[in-house]
Amino acid sequence: MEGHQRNLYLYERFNAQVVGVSRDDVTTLKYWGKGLGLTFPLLSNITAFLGDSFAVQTDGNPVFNRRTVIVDSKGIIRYVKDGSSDFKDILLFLKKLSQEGGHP
Amino acid sequence: MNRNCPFLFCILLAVIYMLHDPATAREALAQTSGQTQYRVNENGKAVYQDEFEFVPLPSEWELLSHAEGSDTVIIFYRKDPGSSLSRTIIAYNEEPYGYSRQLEERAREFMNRFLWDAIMQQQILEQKKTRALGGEGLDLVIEAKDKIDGKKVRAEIVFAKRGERIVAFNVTQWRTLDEPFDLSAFDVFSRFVGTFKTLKKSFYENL
Repeated sequence: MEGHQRNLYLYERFNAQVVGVSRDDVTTLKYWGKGLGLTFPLLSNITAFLGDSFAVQTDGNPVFNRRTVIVDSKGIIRYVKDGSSDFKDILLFLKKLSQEGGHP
Repeated sequence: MNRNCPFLFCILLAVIYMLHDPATAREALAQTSGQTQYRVNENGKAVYQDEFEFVPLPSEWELLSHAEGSDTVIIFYRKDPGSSLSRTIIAYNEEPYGYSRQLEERAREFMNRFLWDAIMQQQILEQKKTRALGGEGLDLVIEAKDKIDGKKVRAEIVFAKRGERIVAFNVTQWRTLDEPFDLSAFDVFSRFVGTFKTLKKSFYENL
């Protein structure tokens, strides 16, 4: 998450907005985000419907699997990667998407 | 963020977040990928991954490296005489704790996380402006003690700018409470920082 915070100025150049989603409650996310100095939105999804939508909710697991998803301006999922965020890969993809105007 | 811009992308992150960061010395070493070699050029300088150049450290320093995500980290390790705890680590880190691109602010953010999971009381002994990577830098010297575990650490962190971003060099020396620090390691560190050069633009500068 700190890596995304570091890259906010670059995301902005590529017209991207980062949003974190977690099953933690709002209060937990508020203090957690404050502790790390995060300024981008963190969404609390305790009912896990977003986890189902993005296929990161494993049955019986109280937390989402970690996944990075990039959605373009038309709402089309353009990038999916599991595990820890590969920031350089994300930035290269956003650059490419920005250059092509966000269209497939 | 210009919300009127024609192209709005969204990164959704489903997170299992570990309140844990692998940058303490112990964890960094646990994640090392083994000894890494560098080549020595005609001027006697070490060239690491064709991107960094520095005067090689004395032979007792073992070069290790590890990949923390997509970040570049170069680590030198030296087992020091004395207790099993006694060791010194010198490192160059492309993504030090924090996120600010201002030196003083980044140092403040860094100190909130440095040695965080060692749960030690830290004291900044010295903070001064310096030169590093051919530009302005910020030099911090700290000491910390853990009276319960009976250990202490002395560290020096030099923050520098590489393009728009902040990078950091640090030396971290661990001792038991009754063992003296070996300040000669900090001279080695100063030489490492003073001779360290980048040979090409970073990923972020080329982006």
